[in-house]
Amino acid sequence: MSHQLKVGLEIHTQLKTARKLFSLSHNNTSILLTKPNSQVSFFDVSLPGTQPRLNPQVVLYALKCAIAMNCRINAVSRFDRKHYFYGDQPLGYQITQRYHALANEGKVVLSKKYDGLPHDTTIGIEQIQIEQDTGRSLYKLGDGSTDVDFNRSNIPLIEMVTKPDFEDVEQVRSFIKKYSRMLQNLDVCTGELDTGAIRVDVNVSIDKYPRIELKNIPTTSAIVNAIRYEYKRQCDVVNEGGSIRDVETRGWDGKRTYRLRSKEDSIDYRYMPDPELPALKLDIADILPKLKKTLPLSVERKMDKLMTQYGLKLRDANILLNDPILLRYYLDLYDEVYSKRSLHNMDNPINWLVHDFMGCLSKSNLKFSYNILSVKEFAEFLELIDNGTVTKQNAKLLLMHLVNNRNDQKVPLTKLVNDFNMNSVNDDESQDKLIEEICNKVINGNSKVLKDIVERGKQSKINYLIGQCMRACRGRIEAPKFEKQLKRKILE
Amino acid sequence: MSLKQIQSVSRRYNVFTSIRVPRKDEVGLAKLRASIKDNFATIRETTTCGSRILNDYISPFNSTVVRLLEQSGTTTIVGKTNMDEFGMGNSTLNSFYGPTLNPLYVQEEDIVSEYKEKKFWTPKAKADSKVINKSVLYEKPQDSEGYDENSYLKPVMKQNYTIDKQMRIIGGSSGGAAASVALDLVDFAIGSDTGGSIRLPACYTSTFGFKPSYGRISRWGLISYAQSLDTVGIISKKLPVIDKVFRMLDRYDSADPTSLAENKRVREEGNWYPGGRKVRIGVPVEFRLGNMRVEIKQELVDLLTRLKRSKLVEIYPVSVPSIKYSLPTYYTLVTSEASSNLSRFDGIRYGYRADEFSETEPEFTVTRSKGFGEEVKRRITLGTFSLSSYGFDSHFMKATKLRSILINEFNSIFIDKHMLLPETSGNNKKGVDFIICPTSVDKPPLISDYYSTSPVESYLNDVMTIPPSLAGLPTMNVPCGKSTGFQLIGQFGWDYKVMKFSEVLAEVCQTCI
Repeated sequence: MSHQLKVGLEIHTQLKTARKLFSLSHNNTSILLTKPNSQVSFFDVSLPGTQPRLNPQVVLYALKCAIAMNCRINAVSRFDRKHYFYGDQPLGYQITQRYHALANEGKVVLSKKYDGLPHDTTIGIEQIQIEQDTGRSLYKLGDGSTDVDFNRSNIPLIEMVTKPDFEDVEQVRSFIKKYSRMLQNLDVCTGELDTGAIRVDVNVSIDKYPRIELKNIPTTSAIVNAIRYEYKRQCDVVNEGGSIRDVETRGWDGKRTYRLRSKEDSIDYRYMPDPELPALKLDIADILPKLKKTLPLSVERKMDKLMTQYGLKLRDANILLNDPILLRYYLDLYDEVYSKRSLHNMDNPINWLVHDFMGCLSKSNLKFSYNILSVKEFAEFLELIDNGTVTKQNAKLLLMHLVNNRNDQKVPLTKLVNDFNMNSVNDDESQDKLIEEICNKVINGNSKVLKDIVERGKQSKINYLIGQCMRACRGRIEAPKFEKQLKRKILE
Repeated sequence: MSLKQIQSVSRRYNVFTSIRVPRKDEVGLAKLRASIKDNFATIRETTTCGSRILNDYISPFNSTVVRLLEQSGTTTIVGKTNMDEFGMGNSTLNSFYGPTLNPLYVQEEDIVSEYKEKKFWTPKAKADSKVINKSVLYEKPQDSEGYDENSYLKPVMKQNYTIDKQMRIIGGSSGGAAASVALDLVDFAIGSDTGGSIRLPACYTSTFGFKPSYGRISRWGLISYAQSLDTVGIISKKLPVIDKVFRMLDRYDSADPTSLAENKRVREEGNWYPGGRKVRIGVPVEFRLGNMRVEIKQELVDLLTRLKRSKLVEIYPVSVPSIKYSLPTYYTLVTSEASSNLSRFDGIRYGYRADEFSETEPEFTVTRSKGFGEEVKRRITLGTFSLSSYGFDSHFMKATKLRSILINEFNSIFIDKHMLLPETSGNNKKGVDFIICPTSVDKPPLISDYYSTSPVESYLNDVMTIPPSLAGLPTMNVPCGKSTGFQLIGQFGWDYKVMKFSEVLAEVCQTCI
């Protein structure tokens, strides 16, 4: 018997404001080399006599998120305390917004067009609230002790709660992707799940049964697997005549979900309005129009633009929008090629950038950054292909070389090409002669392959011969030319 | 007064939790001498809140109040005064450092055996920096040039001592503060007042105790008890000293989120009674309490009669019906906030740490069980209940609502505008300028009696001081005879008006005695 899956998400997001939520210490835990307990002010470790002071930049960033998710922004919101004891919770409570949040009732549309789903789905947003992050506990296996790093303590978070509107895991997957990209686009969060900048808790239920909360799942694929597992588990319980009676919290060990705590041992957080933080009062009519003007184009609008104005495929547009620096690089490269160098007939540089260049980087275990290859150098390189100085095959080798030998980027490209003897054979007469010579040599030397092609009809084996030709000319002639000549010779 | 004299006086009544040893360049200047209640963070000695849990705690920063006083160049800090642990109490008997006794009553025997000198070294501060004490060294460093030596005296209580049978409580929680003033060890004392902690000990020691409007003096560095009520205030024998000190401290502080904005502080003086009209004084009918001592009722009548006779004053009965709910309202809110505020004391980052745990009790639990005194634990437990899912609506929210009703009722009887609620106040053209009522319903109880009263009974001592605390109103205890005083309560934000009229009231009180 099949059951209807219902999923809701609770997402904690670190905002990358310059300073922390209620103190002046720097907010740079995203830098992994930051020394533990070096970004800590008196309030962050709750020294007696300290008081919180709201960082207005946090409000600004949170408002941007709320607007992007089409929320109703509340003119008055307030701060509350959520109490529990834990070693990395210095105040003994977390300052959050439970009773009067910053924003409510938003929505995000997951679309067929942009998110690759079978049909459009609207996900309701219940609430967006501002709250503090905790310190970080580092459990030491040896002696069972725990170190605590308070650098993360009091970093601003927004907690965003969706309505239980997800009906399958692919919707969840694309929502998380969309959400992360939306925040990157707003430039309010790094958007990373692996560093903990975005942390997702999942509520899973079937039919009308109570929800089960899944906590501390590190990656999108783990989230998807955990939901699948949990859906099946709940279905099994019900199909075997059982019932899901109570709200329960479960964890994920990579293979299965397991119980963390049930209703009986749930914590009474003793929520209480913070007695000293003033209410956050916003002049909505004044600030909203101003704020909206400062927002960047939405991801969808940017995607539209890339697809219509720049002629990109959805897939390539997606790749660029996942990485704002790569996107900027592409736009600069585009500009360099078509405007500055007026190479109007050249192919869109997108393939060379996102496939060949990025491929080189991943083979060399490098992360993309703006300085690996300057936009100018890249454009020059493309120009060499465009004017036939190097063949595409040799161009790939050259690109690999440039990535791995960055000193050679100072050498003029044409000199490099000469040094490596990569120049295409462009002179028609000598080229034709060379092609003829090489083809003959290859055909003569591969009689067995030739037999396969001619007698057994294995057409695809011709590629092997082309490869041999390319090798013989060290890639200095474009492959299609050999193909043409070989086909003529063999098949005619 | 020399350090020796201070010690010898303080030994008898146990005034200080620490006495500051002046540095060489600090001796001999004619300045106002001050004591600081030990719940204000200071960098030159411990800041204990009268609690074991902060026994050796040295703050890396000064509270705003202490910074302003020191920067003024007119004040010398003598020491830090004893208090009920975390401000919880009205007797100054609930301190880890022993009781403070009332100097108005005879005590034959010293209760402190000695003052022990303690030293620590901190890196020298830059001139413009508010922050020092990045690291605290308990042994003299090799490179002592770059360090400040800090020296203070800590009391060691006698193993056995006898408190005189006729000794009465000093009130609290700022009992040490009041004692330091009553014994002339200082010109003024900085205290804190959450529900009467300045006014009650001022009343019991016959001194002036001023609790300003809530938010008027910065709380930065004051260790929170219940910060929706915690107010910094001043005790002195002289009103001009209170006036002078208040003017030093009366300023906005961006570090304190509840600090009153500059434009909410009424400063203009002299136009308080337009057209030369009489001062209108209200006497709330709700304060005619059954348990009020006959003598105090009589003194109130005397005082009002004399005021009337002066022809400057008109007296009106007024009604603030919610006053009768203020005691439970107060104890619900205060314990709730305290249970929240004190949850940071877990021994992990600072303060006392038990260094033991069991299967059922993690270390922080043992730390808190041993580090807090009985009254603190009682109030944490009460507050934890009020905030629990069982108690939140029925207790905490109800108390919050009653508090706003009380504020509205006060607003309806004052002629002046509440500086934070201008729309809903100041509309009663026949309203009063002040409210006068006794500070305490009785003389201070004998210590021997007090020890045998139940905690809840002891809460009743706060019944007169709590209503203005809940409403955040500026209130002065004006002494009127031995261990008796009257509160002069003004509208929120009108602190100077209260201080000014206190002079008149004090003069009338003088003639009462």
